[in-house]
Amino acid sequence: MEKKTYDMRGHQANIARLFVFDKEGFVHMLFYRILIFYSVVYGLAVLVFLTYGLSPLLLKAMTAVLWIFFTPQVYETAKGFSLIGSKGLAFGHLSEEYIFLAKNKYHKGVSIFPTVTTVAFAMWIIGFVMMLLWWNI
Amino acid sequence: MSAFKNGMMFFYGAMAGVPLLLWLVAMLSPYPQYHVVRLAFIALAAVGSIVFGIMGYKEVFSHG
Repeated sequence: MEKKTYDMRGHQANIARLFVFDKEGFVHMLFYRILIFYSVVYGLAVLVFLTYGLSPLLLKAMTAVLWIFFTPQVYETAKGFSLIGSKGLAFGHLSEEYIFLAKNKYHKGVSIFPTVTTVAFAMWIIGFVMMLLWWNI
Repeated sequence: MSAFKNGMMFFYGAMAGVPLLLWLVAMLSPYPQYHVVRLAFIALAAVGSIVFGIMGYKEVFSHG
């Protein structure tokens, strides 16, 4: 059965459909859709670099662009694992009273999950800076 | 897991693996003794990147 390309939010082709109520989702979607094409270009550029040769500076610039486009994806993946591991208590858009009570009664250790997500994302950003400074193959 | 049946595990593997490999190449860049390791990682990242893009296109634009 073919996947539906519309739901109550509108058609998938409408790029702005998330912008009004979910700006984080909008940014993720936009960067991901661009990344779909750019990641193929980047992969081919790396293969050309490895076989025939390409300017290392050009490859570094392309890597920086890929790194930027991958950033929302990395954040949402880290957040997704946090959501799963904490059973929705981390990043789950639940009522604060419920989160407080659920953490105290059932899931005392879940406070680690937002921290892990933040650390993982910080490593990605720090990695970007280090890549700009040191990238060399 | 159904992701293994329809090949989506390649997509998820690339989604996680490409950023990880790029990050490792960046971290190993100051050390000349890891030149071959960096070459291997970037080659894997390149393949993963292409897989990610093609499967992403099928999912988002051409719908399988």
